[in-house]
Amino acid sequence: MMKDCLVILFSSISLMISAQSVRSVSISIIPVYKGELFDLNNEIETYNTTITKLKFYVSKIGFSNSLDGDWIGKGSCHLLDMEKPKSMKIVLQIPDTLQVNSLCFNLGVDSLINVSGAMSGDLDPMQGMYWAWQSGYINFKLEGKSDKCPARKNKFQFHLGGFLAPYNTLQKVTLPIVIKDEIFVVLDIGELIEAVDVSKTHEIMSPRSEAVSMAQKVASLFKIVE
Amino acid sequence: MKKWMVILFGLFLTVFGFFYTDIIEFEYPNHFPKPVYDFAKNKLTEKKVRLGRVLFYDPILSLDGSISCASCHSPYNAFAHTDHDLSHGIDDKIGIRNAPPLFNLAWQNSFMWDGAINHLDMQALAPITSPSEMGDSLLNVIMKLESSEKYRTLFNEAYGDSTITGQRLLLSLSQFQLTLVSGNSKYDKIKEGVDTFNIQEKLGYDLFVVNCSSCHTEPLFTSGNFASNGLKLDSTLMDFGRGRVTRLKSDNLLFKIPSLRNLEYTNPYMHDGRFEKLREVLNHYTDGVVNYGDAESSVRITKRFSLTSNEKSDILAFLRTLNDQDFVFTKKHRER
Repeated sequence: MMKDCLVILFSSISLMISAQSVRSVSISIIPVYKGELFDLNNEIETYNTTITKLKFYVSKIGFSNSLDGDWIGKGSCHLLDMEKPKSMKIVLQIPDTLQVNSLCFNLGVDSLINVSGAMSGDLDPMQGMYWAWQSGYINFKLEGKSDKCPARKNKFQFHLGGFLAPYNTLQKVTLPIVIKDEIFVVLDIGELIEAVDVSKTHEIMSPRSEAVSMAQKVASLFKIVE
Repeated sequence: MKKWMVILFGLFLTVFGFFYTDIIEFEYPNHFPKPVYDFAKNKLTEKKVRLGRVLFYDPILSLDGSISCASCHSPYNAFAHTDHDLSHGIDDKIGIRNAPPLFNLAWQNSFMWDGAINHLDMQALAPITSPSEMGDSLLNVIMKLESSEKYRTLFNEAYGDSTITGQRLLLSLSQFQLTLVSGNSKYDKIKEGVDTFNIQEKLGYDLFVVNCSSCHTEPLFTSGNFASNGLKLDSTLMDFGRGRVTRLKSDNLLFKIPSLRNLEYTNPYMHDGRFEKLREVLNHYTDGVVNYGDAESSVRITKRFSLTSNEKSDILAFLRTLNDQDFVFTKKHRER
């Protein structure tokens, strides 16, 4: 109760100081497979494919009023994990009067975070998104099974990371939007798996050029639902 | 009345707790440069250092409870592993490299012989999860610690609540290791103006300055960079060192330049522990350097040194002034 009062007190003070009203905008990222919703660990029958893990970092998410310029992004990093539906939704507070026409974020975490030691919360190495044998975060992790995949037990594993040139996998994503209270973004994993071709490439687990090009592909697959 | 006393006492405790800290100042010799570790982000406290020390000596960090950090980093050997060329892990597994000594880590920018780890906080993750070392996972280690009354208490004392996270575990291990400062050798006493070299040590020091000091920079006796000293590639290990990390051919066979402090306690030498005696190391520089067709450069020795047997003895006399007995014999860093 005491804590709640304090929170209300502080938020009203900060509102008074900023002297402008803010609105909440929620951004939900929805993984789809060739345009259809799918569940983890359930075979997507049409494609004989099962996705067992999908986790990735979204950082510096914010809005902009230009399609190629800088954006007002918060520093915090979000770990989106398909296993935890709540994590797939990010809520931002923006000034009511802000004129924006695009949603911007980084897919992955920036190099500063990669060299700054042990972090907490979504960045804690216990989240399983940090390489132990060579320092660096895994920006995007996708694992599953496919009939087409010739690896042991038909498993494919893509751990995309690397923050040093020439294998920097961090990608900037800019999506044109019309601002509203709820924004939905789809990410088509089916398109990704088709593009990678799991019959040929089924394991990327270290910083290298294949990781960079796959990260670019992932970044290109985020689409706003109109 | 009694109720008020309790409330007042509680208030006193809260205020006291708010202002009381057990923050320790990081101490190091005057002639050392400023540390590179960012202490502002991980302020040393007695309780966190103690927690780190307990963790360091506890085999709970390994999958089968058989190996602790101290198994390969013994306080009696300046936190190296004497008489073992390659590191040992669970199930009698043997690694590919010699366990390096641990001291003056607050001045180190990268870790491991190939610099694969870029921050002291993240270093412990590698041995904890490596199948040929402790073979565990961070999540499993945290689960084991959570089910231990002892650790719940220690984390509570160190962090104000008993939540155990990866970050807290890693920061505590850093704290203990940061306190491993070795800066009280005869050389350090000479730098502080309270001792002097004897004639042979001075001759050795002059030879060191000319031949060795560009890589083994004073006063830490390493520049922290990577270099090749012309070692022959061991075909049973095929270890290309730094090149494995950067994927650059020009970094092949480069390894972290080790400090020359405490050599008496840290044999065998080199990344694969191939030399038992220090004289063998010096003999390598005069007779063993191999050239794989690379040009001599600041990071690659391809030409053999010319040093007489007497000169080598002088260098060895100087190197002995870098042994820090206090560091090795102090009980402060031991298991308690």
